[in-house]
Formats: sequence, C-alpha cells, structure tokens
Amino acid sequence: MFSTMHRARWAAAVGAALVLPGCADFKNQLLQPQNPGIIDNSAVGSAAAAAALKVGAMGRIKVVYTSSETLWQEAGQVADEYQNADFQPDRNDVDQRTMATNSPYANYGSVTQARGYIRDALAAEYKYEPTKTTDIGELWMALGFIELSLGENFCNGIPLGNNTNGVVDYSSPSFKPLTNNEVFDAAIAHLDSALTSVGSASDSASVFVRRAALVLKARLLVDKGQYAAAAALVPTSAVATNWQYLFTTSTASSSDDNGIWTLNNSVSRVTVGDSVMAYQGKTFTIANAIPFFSLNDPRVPVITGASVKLVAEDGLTPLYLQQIWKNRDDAVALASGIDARMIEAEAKLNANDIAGMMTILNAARATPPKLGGVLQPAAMPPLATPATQDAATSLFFREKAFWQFSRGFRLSDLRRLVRQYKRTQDKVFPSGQHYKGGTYGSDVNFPVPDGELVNPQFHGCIDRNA
Amino acid sequence: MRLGRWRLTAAPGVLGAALLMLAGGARNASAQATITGRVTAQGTNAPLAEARVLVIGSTVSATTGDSGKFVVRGIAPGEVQLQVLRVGYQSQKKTVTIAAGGSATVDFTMSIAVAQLEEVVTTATGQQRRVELGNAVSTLGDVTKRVEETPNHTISDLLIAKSPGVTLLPGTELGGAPTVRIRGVSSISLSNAPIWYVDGVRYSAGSLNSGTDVNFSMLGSINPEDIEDIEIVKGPSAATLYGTNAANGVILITTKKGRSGQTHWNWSAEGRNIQDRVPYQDMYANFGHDPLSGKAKRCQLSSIVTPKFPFKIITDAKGVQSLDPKFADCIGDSLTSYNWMKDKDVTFVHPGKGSLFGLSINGGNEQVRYFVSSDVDNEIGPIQMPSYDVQRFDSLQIPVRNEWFHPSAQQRSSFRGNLSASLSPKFDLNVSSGFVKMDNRIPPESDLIIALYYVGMQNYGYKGCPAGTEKTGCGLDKIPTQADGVPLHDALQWDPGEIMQVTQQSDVQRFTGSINGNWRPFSWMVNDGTVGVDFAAVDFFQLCRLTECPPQSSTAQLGRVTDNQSKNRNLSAKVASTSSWNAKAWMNLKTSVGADYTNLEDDFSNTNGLTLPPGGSTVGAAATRSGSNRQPTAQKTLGLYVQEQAALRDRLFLTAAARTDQNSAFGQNFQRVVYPKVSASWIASDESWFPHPSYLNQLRLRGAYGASGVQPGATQALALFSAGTVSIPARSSTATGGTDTPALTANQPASPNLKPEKSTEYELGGEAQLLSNRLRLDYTFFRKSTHDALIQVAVSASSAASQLSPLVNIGATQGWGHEFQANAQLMDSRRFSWDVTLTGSHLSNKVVDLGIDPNTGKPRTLGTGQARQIPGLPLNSQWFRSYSYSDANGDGLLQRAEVVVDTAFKYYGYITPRDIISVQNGFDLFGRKLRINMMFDYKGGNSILDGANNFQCNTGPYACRDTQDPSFSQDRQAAAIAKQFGTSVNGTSYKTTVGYFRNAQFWKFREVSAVYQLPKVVTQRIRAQNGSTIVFGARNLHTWSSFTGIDPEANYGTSQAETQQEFQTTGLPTYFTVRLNLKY
Repeated sequence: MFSTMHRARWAAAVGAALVLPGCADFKNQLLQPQNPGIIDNSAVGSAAAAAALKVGAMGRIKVVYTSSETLWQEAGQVADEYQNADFQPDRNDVDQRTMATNSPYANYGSVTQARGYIRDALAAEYKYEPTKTTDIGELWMALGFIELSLGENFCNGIPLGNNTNGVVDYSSPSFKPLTNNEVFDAAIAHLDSALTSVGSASDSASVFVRRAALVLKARLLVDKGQYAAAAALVPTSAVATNWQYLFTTSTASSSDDNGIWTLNNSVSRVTVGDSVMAYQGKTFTIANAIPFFSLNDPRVPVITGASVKLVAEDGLTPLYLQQIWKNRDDAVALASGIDARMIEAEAKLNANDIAGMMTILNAARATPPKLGGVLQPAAMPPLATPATQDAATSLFFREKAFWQFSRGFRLSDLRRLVRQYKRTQDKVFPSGQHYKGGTYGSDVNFPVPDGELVNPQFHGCIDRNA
Repeated sequence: MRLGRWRLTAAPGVLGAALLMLAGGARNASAQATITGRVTAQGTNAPLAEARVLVIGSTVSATTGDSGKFVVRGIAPGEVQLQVLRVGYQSQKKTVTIAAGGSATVDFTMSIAVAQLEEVVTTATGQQRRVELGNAVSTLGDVTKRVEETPNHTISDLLIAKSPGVTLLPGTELGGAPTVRIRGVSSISLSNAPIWYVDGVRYSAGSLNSGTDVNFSMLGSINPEDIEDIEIVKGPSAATLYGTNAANGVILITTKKGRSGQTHWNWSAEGRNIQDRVPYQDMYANFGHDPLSGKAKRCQLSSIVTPKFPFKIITDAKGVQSLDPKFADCIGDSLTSYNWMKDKDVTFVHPGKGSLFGLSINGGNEQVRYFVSSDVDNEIGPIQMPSYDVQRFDSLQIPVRNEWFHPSAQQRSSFRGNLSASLSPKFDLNVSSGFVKMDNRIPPESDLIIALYYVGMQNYGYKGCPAGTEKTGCGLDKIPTQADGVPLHDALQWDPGEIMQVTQQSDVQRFTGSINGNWRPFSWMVNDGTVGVDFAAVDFFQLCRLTECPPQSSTAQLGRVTDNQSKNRNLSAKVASTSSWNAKAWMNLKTSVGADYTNLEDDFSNTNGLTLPPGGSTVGAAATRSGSNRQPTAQKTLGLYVQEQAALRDRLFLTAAARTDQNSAFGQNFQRVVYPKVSASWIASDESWFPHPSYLNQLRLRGAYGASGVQPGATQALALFSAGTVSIPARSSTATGGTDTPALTANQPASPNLKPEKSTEYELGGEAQLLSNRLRLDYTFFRKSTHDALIQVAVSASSAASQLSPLVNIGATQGWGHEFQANAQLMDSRRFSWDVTLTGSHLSNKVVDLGIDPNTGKPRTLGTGQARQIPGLPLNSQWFRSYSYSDANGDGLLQRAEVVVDTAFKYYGYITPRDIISVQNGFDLFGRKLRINMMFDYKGGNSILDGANNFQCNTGPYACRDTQDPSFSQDRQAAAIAKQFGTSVNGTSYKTTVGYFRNAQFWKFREVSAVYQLPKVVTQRIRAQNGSTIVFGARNLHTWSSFTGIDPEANYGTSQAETQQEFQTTGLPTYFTVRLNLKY
C-alpha cells in the first residue's frame, strides 16, 4: 500500500508538470491570436478612420478602369474601341459578342461590390464626420457613378442589394432585379443626395463635387431619353468645357496604374479598334466599326506597336496603341466638361436643332479641351452640317466616340443607338466575320453572371435588350 | 482578442483523470534487473546493429550497437518476455526469469524475412510495435539503403509509389513542388495535404511561388541522405492524437542517429546525367492559298477546300467580291511538320548534370552517440541557352551570365548533427539539428508567354523559309524576328535567349532542431518530452536588368526587379507520459497522457522596383519602388490527450483514446474540439485454437475508428480591414495629379462560429504471413467521413458584401478506398534471389451534403464551370459541354457545321488519380554481390486536360496536328473545332474543351538500379569496409500512356481545387546516375 501511494505521488508530480501549461493565463497566452498586422473593428471607430474608409471607397470605384480586364476595357471590346489581342482563346467571347452567362465578364462582382465600400464609408462619415458635407456628397456621387456604370453596361435585371456586416437578407426588396432604367433612377437618386449634401457651398471642393454630380446626373437623364432636362443641368456656366474630375493614379504603386495604358500600351492584350483587321494572311472588314487607328484623329492618336517594338500578346494581331494616356500614371476623367458639351449637343440633336448641335461640336473642335491629364488635341477644322437627322445622329455619335474614347461611354452609346434611335444592333455594333474565327454574335451588353443566382429573387437577366 | 476562451475546468479535469489511471496503473516497485545479450544474423552470424529489444508489457527497451550487443536496464524482476525486432528479419521472442537486482544474458539469432517493414513505429505517445496498432501505418523500411541503392534525390522520389493510398504527383521541374495526398481528398475548401514532422518538430511543407507559374517545394530542403525512417500515418483513425490539422494524414521523418561502437565514416559521391526525353509534339503547317486572291496562307482543316466542301465567292452591293464564310476559304497545297524542341540546331533542350558529395560520421559508446553529416548536391537542369543566342550576345559584346546559360539549377548544402546521450540509466537526451541552404535558379518555363516551353513547343510547323518565299516574309504566318528585330530562329514570338535573361532565384535557409528527453523513473513508466523549432528564411528574386529580357511590355526592358522575402517559424513542444501495468498475468495495461503545442508563424515582405540604371539589380536601385509586407500571423494549437491500451496475452491489443484541441483560428464562439479513437489488433494465429496450416505463419486482423480535423486559416474567423494608399485627385479643375492617401476598406466580416472540419474514419484490415514467411499480404479498407466541411458559400455580388465567398461549416464529404500490399520472396538461393513488392490502392470520394440552397429549397451545388461540387458526385467533379461530330459530306475532313457542341454540361468524372499501383522488384545475383532494383508504377482512373494541345490547337498560329494534318483522326479534328468554334445558338457561342480532357492513365518505368558490392581486392586497396558499393541507376525511363499531352503526371496548376493539368510545361526528366558508397 505504501509503495502504491509513493508511486501515486510520483505520478501526481509528473502529472502536475503536465497540468501547469494548462493554467489559464499561460494557456491563454499560448493561444492568443498573434496577428499584429491585422486591422480589425477596433481601428475603424474614429473620424480619421471614416476619412480613410472614404479614400478606400474612392479607390474601389477605380475598378471600372484599373487592374486587368476592366469594365471600360471589355465594354470597349464589345463596342469598337478595342479588339482582342489576347493569347487566351476564351477571351474572344467578349470581342465577338457571344458571352455565355456562366462566366463573369466586365468585373461585375467588383463593380457592384464597390457599392458596399461606398456605403461603409458613408455610414462612417455620417457617424464621425457629419459636417463634412462635401466628402459625403462625393461618396454619394461615387455611388451614383457605380450604379450608372452597371446600368449602362449590363443587361436588364440588375439587383442593387445590400448587407449588414456581411449578413445578407435576400428577402429584402433591394435584391429584386431592376431594369436598366430603374438602375438609372437609383443612380439619379443618389446623385441628388450628393447635390443635396454639397448644397450651394461655394468652396472649390464643393463646386468640384457638384459639377461631377451634375454631369453624371445629366448623363443618366440622357440614358433615360430626357435630353433637354439633361442639358439644362450642365450649361457652360455650370460646367466649363475644360473642367475634369480625374481618376489619378499612385506613382508609388504599380497596382494602381492606368488600366487602359496597362492593357493596351504595356501588356498589349487589346489593340485599338479599326474597321479593317489583317490577321494570318487574311484581311477582315469589320462592319460598323470606327477605324480609330486608320483615322488617327487628334483626339485619339494611335501608333503601331512596331514603332515602339511591341507586339500584341498573341503575337499575331496587329497592335495599335492609343496615345491619349501614354504613361502608366496618366489620369483619366471620370466626368468632364466635354461630357457636358456632348449632352448639350445631343439635346440639340433631339430637338431637331442640327445647326445648334454643330455649333457645339465645332466649338469643341476649334478649342479642344485637354483630354485626361495630359493630351491637348490640336484644333480641328469644323465639320459640315449634315443634311438629315439620320446623318446628324451618325455624325454626333462618331464625334462623341472620339471625344470620350475609352472612358466607358461607347457601349452605352451604341446601346442607345438601338434603344433610343431605333437602329438595329447589326447596323451599330461590330458585325460580320470575326478575324479569329466565326462570326460576331448579337450581344449588346454584359450578362449578369450566373453567380448572382444565389439571390433567390434573381433568375437571370430579364432580357439582353439594348 | 479571445482571451479566456479556454474553460479552466478542462485541462486539469482530463489530466487529473489520466493521472488517476496512471497512479492506478502502478504496481509494487522492487529492485530492477538487467538483461544483456547479442543479436546476430542466422547463417552468417554477423552482428546486427539497430535491432530493437523490447521487454513486452513494459516501457523499457534497448537498441543494439555495431557489435550486436544490447543492455536492457530497469527491468522489473520475474518472468520477462523479450522481443527483438529488426527491419528485414523475422521478429523473435524469448522468455527469461530474472531475480530482483539480478542480471541475465539472452542472445538472439535472427532469420531474414521478406517483409521489409519497420516493426516498431513512432506514434504520438512514443514508439510502439506495429502489431499493437489497430490501424495501418506505412513505413518506407530501410531508407538509408534505398537512398544508397536507388536514384532518389528528393523526398518525393523516396515517397512516390511506395505506399498504398498515397498519391504523389512529383513536380516536373527541378525543385518543383510535389503534390502529396493520402487516401484521396476530403476537403473542398481547405488543404488536403498531410502535415509533416521531422524528429518531432512540425515542418512547413508548403510551396514557394516563384512569381510566375512554377511552385517550388519547401520539402526540397529535406535531405534524403539524412533520413533514417519515414512513416505515413494515413488518416483520422491513426492520426487522432495528432489532432487538428492531421485529418489528411501525418508524415513522420526520423533522421539518423548515432550508434555505439566504432566510428563509421560513410562517403558518398554521385554523378548524374539529366535528359529531357519528353515526347514534345511535332507542329504542322498546311501550306495553301486563298482561292480569291491567290495569296499564300495557312489552311485550317475545318475550312480547307475539298471536293465536297468548295469555296464560294459572293459579291456585295458595291461589287466587292469576298469568300462566303460558310464555305471553304483555303486551297491546300502541301503539308510540313517541324519539332523545334528536338531540332539540335536551335533547341534549348540539352542534357543537364548533377553531382552529390556527402560524408557522414557516426559512432559513440553506450553513454553518448553521435551522427554528423554534410552533403552538397548540385544539379543543372536540362536547359541550356541555344548556341545562336550565345553567338548573338557575344557579337553584341554582352557577356553571357551563367544564370542565363543554365537557367535551371539547384544547389543544396546540408549539415546535420544529432546527439544521443544516456545521461543516466533512466534518462536519455537526444538532440537533433539540421541546417539546409538551398538555392534554386528557375527558368521562366511554362505558363506565361515569356516562357521557354511556350515559344519552343508552339512553333510554326516549318523550319526556315520555304522555297520561293524568302523575299516575301518567310511564307505563311511566320514572324521571323522578335518585335525588336532579334531573330527568332523559328521559335514563336520571343527569343529563348532573351527569355533566359529573366533571372529568377530562390534561396532557402532553414534550421530544424529539437531536443528530446526520455525519462524512465520506474520500470513501468516512461516520460517523453520534445521541444523543437523549424526556422525557414525564404527569398525569391526576379530580375531583368536594363535592356534585358524580351520586350513583351512597354516597361519590360526598363529594368525591373522583384524581391520577396518570407519567414516561417514553427515551435513545437510536446510531453507524454506512459505507464504500464500488468494487471493480470494475461493482461498488460498502458496509460498515456500527453499535451502538445504548436505555434506556426509566418510573415513576408514583397518589394519590387522598376526602371533600373545600367548595372542596377536591386529594388533600392530602381527609380520606382513599391512594396507590401505582413507582420507575423500565427496558428497556435494546444492539445491534450489521454490513451488507454490493453494487451491481452500479447495477441489482442485494444486501444481507446481521446484528444481535445483549442486553436487560435477557431471562431470566438467555438471553444474546443474533441477527437475520440478506438482500435483493436488481434494476432489470431497466436491463439491456441487457431488452425495452423503449414502455409500460414501469421494472421493479424485489425480495425480502428478515430477522428481528427483540419483548421481554418489563421485569420479567417476575424473581422478584417485592409490598408493601402489611393491616389486622390485634388478637387480643382486645373490639377492633373493626385495625392497618395492612406485608405481602409473592409476585407471580411467576423465568423464567430468558425470551427475546424472534423473527419471521422474507420478502417478494417489484416496482414498474413505465408509460405514460411516468404509472402506477406496486407489489406485495408477505410471509410472517411468529413463533417462541418468548410464551404465557400457564394454571396450574391449584388449584396455588395466585402467578402463574396465566406467559409461556412455546412458541408459533408466522404472518401473510401482499398489498400493492398504484397511482399514476396519469389526465389532465394545463393546465386539468385528475387523479391517483389506489389502495392495498390483504389480511392473514391463524394460530396455528401452542401446544405440547402435557399434559392431553390433543394440541396446546394457549387460551381457552374469545369469543377463542381455536387452531392452524390466526387469532389471537384469535372463538367464539360459534350459534343458530337459526323462527316456528313463524306469528304474525310470535318467542317465546323459537322461538329455540334451541346449547350448543357455533362459530368466527366475524376481529375485526380484513383488507382495507384506499383511493382518493385529486387534481384540478387552472384552471391548477393549484385543487386538489381526495378520499379514500375501506374496511376489511372482519372482524366486531365491535355493543356498543350488544348492551347496549341486553339491559338495562333493554330499549328497543331489537329488543325493542319488531313490524315489525322476525325476525333482530334472535332476536338479542335469544338474548342475553337463551337456551336452558336441564338447568338451565344457554346464551345468546349472536353476534346482535350483525356484519360491520364499510365505506366511508368520509374527507377532501376544495379548495386555492385565492391570486391575485397578493391576495398582492401582503398581500405574501405564491406558494404561499400557502386551503383548505376536511372529514373523516369519510360512512360506508357495513351494521354495525348506532354506528361499525364504533370501537376502544373494543382491547387486546392485539385485541378491537375499540364499546360505548356515539360514532363519529368530522365536521370542516369552512378554513385559510389564507401564505408570506413
């Protein structure tokens, strides 16, 4: 018995040595997450954090044109601004206008997700910096811009849902798919919030934000066919022709490069579009396409890749390089005075005031505003006044295409030519035999991808109409 | 912070109960006895070192030294049963009665056995006889012998095709990362890789991303020369006590230890010749001309003119003529083929070479034993700059750097010092330390277009300029020069020499060390503690100096450099105490309690620079610099366990155990996880009533049930925000620049309920030794069920949530399989003997449950593309649109309209191998002076994408045989049409790659070696000892497969989704080696 007790004591001593690590404090120290680099909720409860969230949100709206395969670049391929020079055959579908719904296109997820970052920032601003009405207005403007981008480029049937700290309630009415027109209305409402927030403040920042909101709202009214109302918002007195709201890029980070420059001028994954394409010993004529390369318009200067010893990524497609943004950090306009002029000109067109339209267009040609951060086009001779409304429409959209090249307008404009000007898609979009095999399809927008089907209220695009 | 989430009652409670058992397990102490003896081989009477001598029913044991002698101390008096075990010999038992404080001598003479298996294996509670375990454990047997006698240079060489149930896809590049899966896959979202331990220390086995496409393995820093044993603990039933993260199995590596006796010096030297004998495919050019213009052009089979598929000219309203795209557009004239990769005049494929020099010293006495080793292993891969590029650089007076000339290279220097000390009869101390420095040069070789194999394999299908076309641009579609005028010599798009200027290097410096103490205060108790660290500093460097490298982007030749550094720091500590008690004469009980702790930390910094000055090569020298870094993140696990084992008459072994884990990665609301385990092992043939037919020597039946888990990522449960800078424009109409401004964005919401995936597994099996122990059979069936599987449940993007695919514990999967192994001594005579080992396994799995889809109210499915998760089907089931074809016009060729792609997707099976078979043969000749080893292995039951043809046939210049050669099969023509053109329905194009999703089954002649014992006349002259050998070996000699791509074993792109594929990469090279092993 004694020896058994003796051994038990020994065993207890050994066991105690094992138990020691189990003592609470020591154990908690052992298990405490040691992730000093992370930023958690405790860091975002201040005015400074609200400001940082706002900056983060403004960075996320650049998703339309930065990083690879962006909305503006792919929209430019569906339209005639760019053609595919990628070596991945799967990427022909965008250029060829034959997009299936099981793949996401045009950065759909990131574009719509940007709304969440803006809402996070708005909530923080209202909580911690409610008096910074210009900043709040700028965020509402950004929200309107993202919704505009969704409505102009994707099919009818876009939900504008929401979440609460990552928790999603799909029964919310916000998850109901909206037509493009309804998305435009939502965007207009948020731009009105921007204008209300900024109010009539006269400081330069408020004026700057107000102009952006006005131009975007006017653009949305044009999307809705309310041309006169649109023009009324952006007279020269409100938005000067040389005014621009720029997306600038960080020179310190290669991940914040101008995405247009990256995809075209640097990695050569797309080539500036033309109406003729020479490929593998054969020449293809692309119906309806503006020959951006061949014309080498001062507003869209283009050079060949050979001049800078670059070839297209696939090694076969002729490479044409835009020269508006020649450097990785050249700024791109989110909204600008020339946008306002085009809105005014289109209002004239729709008011059957072709002469008035030509006055605006020729004034811009005579005194071209700077495009982006760098390009100052030379003055151009005036255009002759077209004889018919149809010819005027064609001329207007052609001029608009040059002024607003690669800034996310062209696909929407081609859609409007179908929707508002009653032309058929095969007379508007690039059509015929595609240079990489097969023929162009009939898509006029991007589908909301099948991934959205987890939203029970979404059952696919309502339609793929223009 | 999650302080205090461990409930205080738990640990003391568990341990207290264990201690009570432990105390109860005690028996009367009395003066301890000693047994000495000697172990020799039957026939030769040679002493056998490294034999384990165990006192059955106790915790004491000993190992023989050089002389074969052993001393077992601390034995309780009375009748004692000794058992001696040694790999390659039949185990033996003897009984001796010994008085208190007395001593006895027992000698053993052992006969050779066919089963080349370790009979003592390492478990979480310490070393145990294999027969006591209810689960299967694979051991590699005598690793030293394998390394010396077969061409094994890496850990994956050692492991491949050796153990049933283990699937290993070796990296195809020098230093490339292997993919190791044990008993298939069970996790959809987390890692399916096993965890690794080296001498009791958790060992980081991840891969290093080179920044392009090639992943390099941290396992490359394990030196096979230092390994004594490798054990594979296969699944939760065996790995329960390894806890969270062990559900995918555990691989335990034990390094060599010193042994008592005279000092042994082992010198090794090896030379290697490395040949790329991959069957690169010919490319083709169908020379033709345009029917309308007469201009030369490359014809595509799908639109070439045939008697039944003519061309048709249409005229538009303006009178312009063109070819109707619905008809043919090319008149074929002639066909050529060319294989740039095999063209000796231009190819970069040249034999590589390698060498190994190693020295190890071991020795010592009963008190202190040591093992010291050092090896230097150099290898240059089978890639060399083409001579025309060397000449071009010479003419430009650009010195060709060695890293350009041989861009594939590896150097591994390793040092090991292991010390074992018996500080007292009751206390042993083992120190293990290893340092490895491994440098890799990595060619840009596959994925990206700036890639050697891309420009070599995907050529134009003809060499030079066809007659008559020299003046018109070299005919057809060939671009004879790079964009900057550098001649391509028929390579595609980029000059290989300039690609080789892309200098990529990785550098790993790694120390792994542990201290183990083994204290035996009583004959009935052993306490074992280990603490160790694994430190790895990794640097990856990529450089293109000013004006170097292909001009594939506008910034490519401005000079660019990337320097990524990461550090892994693992701390492992464990203690275990085992107490034994002979409760009855026929029953021995063993109680074990233990605790372990791991802390796996890593951090990194990524920096890059653009625009370098002449000669500049560092980020600091660049005009534009950017970088990011992450402070350490840690994954910490604290586990406690208790185990009770009962041995009944040393023939029936029952085990019950439980482990509880707490982990820093679990969600706030999840406290701990408990993993239970039970197992039984029964040596039925030892029962007195068991019939003993002459052919059956032993039969053991076993079964086990257990659970373990896989933890989520270190920070997956936490709410996170990401920081960065954003350029914000000045809000002024005149400013064109912005200001970099600090920014925050939400990254992921908190997941307070996040918990580990939990896998339970049962296995049943048995082993039989037959025909005078000349045949050993081993069979196991297992079924593994995983619950709480983490599934990335897609959140609607329209919700604008910061995380669109959060992990949720809602899934369930199941895997099952059969494992079989047979070892046989088919012939055994003095002149000739033949042993064979056959292993095989068949693995299956399926998704059981993914929860209910709120949209449909039906079981959820995941994925809409090639890889899908669907209940009832395998994990990562493969889906494609199918297609059909018919040569309707009977012209022998397929046109686009004759291939119809379905709009719907169809299930196409597994992508990872299900059937693994290997056959290892050993032949001893000339009185065992010469031994020949051969191994063949098979993988099958799966299909993978033939990435080479899938790409080459569907991108410019479309020069693969499928699109060019009219004599090629219609099956292949249809595959190309289905992929490139597909079928258009209502304006939407439906294409499919299924024509390139090919059966990947193959047999490979994996290794062969001839081991010749140096004759006495030679060994005497060089004063070496017996056992010195010269070995001629070869590896990856031949592959038999119907797979149409480069290598069915390629694992480029293997990721968590198990998407095995080959894509513009190479296959395994063939090694020819000669090695000298000298023993002193």
